[in-house]
Amino acid sequence: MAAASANDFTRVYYQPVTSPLRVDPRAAAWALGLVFAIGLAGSVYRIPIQVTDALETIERSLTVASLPASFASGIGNSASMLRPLREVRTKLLVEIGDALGGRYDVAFRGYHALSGVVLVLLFVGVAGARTWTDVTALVFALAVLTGMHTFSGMFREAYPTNHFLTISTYAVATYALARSRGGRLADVAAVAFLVISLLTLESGVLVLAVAVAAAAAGARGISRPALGAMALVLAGYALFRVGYLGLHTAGLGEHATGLWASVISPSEQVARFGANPLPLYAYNVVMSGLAVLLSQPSAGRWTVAEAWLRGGLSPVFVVEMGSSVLTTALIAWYAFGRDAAGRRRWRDPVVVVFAAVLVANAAVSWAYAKNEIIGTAGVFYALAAFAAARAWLVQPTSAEATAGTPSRWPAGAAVALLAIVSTAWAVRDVGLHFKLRHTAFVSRSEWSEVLVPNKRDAWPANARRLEVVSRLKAEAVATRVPSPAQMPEWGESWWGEE
Amino acid sequence: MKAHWSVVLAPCLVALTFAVSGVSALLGDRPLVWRARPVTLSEAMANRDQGEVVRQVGAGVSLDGRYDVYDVIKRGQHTPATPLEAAIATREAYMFELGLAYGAHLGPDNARALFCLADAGEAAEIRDALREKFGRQDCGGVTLPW
Repeated sequence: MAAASANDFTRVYYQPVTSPLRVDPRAAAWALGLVFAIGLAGSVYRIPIQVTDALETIERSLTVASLPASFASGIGNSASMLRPLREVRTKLLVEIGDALGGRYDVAFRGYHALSGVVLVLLFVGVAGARTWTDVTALVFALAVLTGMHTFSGMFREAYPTNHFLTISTYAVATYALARSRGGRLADVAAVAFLVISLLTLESGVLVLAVAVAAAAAGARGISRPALGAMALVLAGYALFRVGYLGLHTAGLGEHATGLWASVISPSEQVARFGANPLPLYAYNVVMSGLAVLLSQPSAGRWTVAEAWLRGGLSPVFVVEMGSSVLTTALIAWYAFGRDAAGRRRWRDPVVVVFAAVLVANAAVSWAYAKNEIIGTAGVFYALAAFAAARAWLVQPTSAEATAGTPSRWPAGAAVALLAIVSTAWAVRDVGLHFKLRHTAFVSRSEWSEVLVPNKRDAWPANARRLEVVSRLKAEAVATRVPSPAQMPEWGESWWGEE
Repeated sequence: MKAHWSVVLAPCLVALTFAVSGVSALLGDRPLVWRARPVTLSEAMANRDQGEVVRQVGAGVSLDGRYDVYDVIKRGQHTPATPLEAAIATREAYMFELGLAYGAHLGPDNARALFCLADAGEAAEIRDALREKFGRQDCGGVTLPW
């Protein structure tokens, strides 16, 4: 009798949720996405344009006459990178800044903030929430998306635009195309997205990984001929890059990278792995993948081990690793379970695409580990978390509940567990804004070393360059940002050192 | 539905808070969360806030004035200091050089007091730079600002 009562309760408990509000869940999903996006945009917009890796590119754009000339200059200006669209974007944003009366901060920072809004709204669109249970799962997934340590990397730096954010956006857009009804327009768009991504950053190859994985999982929005065209684009890119331009990729000793609990410098890498770099490359790939699933290591470095050895395991490690381990377990539960029709869920496009992007994204991190590089995998991790949370909230399935199948969990425990994980992700989400404030402080500070009054011989000789750099500096220092001394002292222990 | 609210409550609260703060920042340059508080030039220097130092100097604030520094040099106390003295309090040579680069006066008239302050405050790099430029200073009878 007691068991029957529990089942009755479960049946009622897991009924599709109806809202007392007369609001369409789909409208609520978009509204909530917009709320997340506006908060993100507000914090991103207030970061001044950075000097490191950005000012030089902006100044270079001033020396070329047009957008096509920028494209051409981006093809031959590096021995290892082929990123002409970075030059084109920079030139375009400078021209927009000029058109706004010299408001370069509006152009560059507005672009970065708007790109964040686009990514978040694309995420909402791809999730496709239709019921209130879906909306609940979406809010959880949005917290995962914005709370991921890989997500903040796409907003803390801009060179002067963040190309990792560009790749993630096109990757999600490609997934949306794959899930669509398809057609000629979708095919053309998919090929265009790959071309744009490849000419923005080498990680653009992830767009093809998304398209192929989605097709393998049964998503038919991108036709086979279009997939073939995308493969040809990649082959043509490789031929042009390696065969014609003779560019090499990043290799051993070009960037510092984490190794176990420490960071090894480029010279140390050459000294230790010069004879056989494969162990280091394998380490970078495996650790980059693990970082998405566990939030450790960070840029290849097990900072949690270092903190443990120092005897100071601060809350940030508990919150970050705890939320990630439980969310990864949720995704694993979803992937290895069966849907209402008895099919294995690991064949779901969202699971297949996440797995493919995780592997491909980790693979492109072979030379060195960096949180931003695996940002795209982080976005698809959040999409997988959405699917898993939705299934978690409706389990047992309505068919099972009708048949009297008991819940695998005591009533309420499933939701309570998700609520705890969701709250942990919300804490991490606050950390995103905390870190963005810190970034704003650092970016603003950098301008003190530009156009220094007692070093006039280092100022640009060209009048146009001097005018633009002066304007950029004036805008940057005019942006009021709190110094670390004005931020909560306990912030670092909850959200990390930076 | 009650149980589902428990899942969305914290993320929605965070998102809404920063959305309102972001809109306030965009429209009125006043974010509601973690807003920059006004500081004096010497406080900016003591907080290693290079951007704020440059902004205030650009706005006409003199690098040779003496300004209040609250809760930085001495915990919970007001400590009047010149920007160069505040830079010495950070023990960071780059902050001292920032002040000089943007026009702070450094000459025989104030070098001795700054040297003695750096010596007493264990700002070794700044002290050594001052000794190199002005020679070793006799700190006997020098009244330090704090």
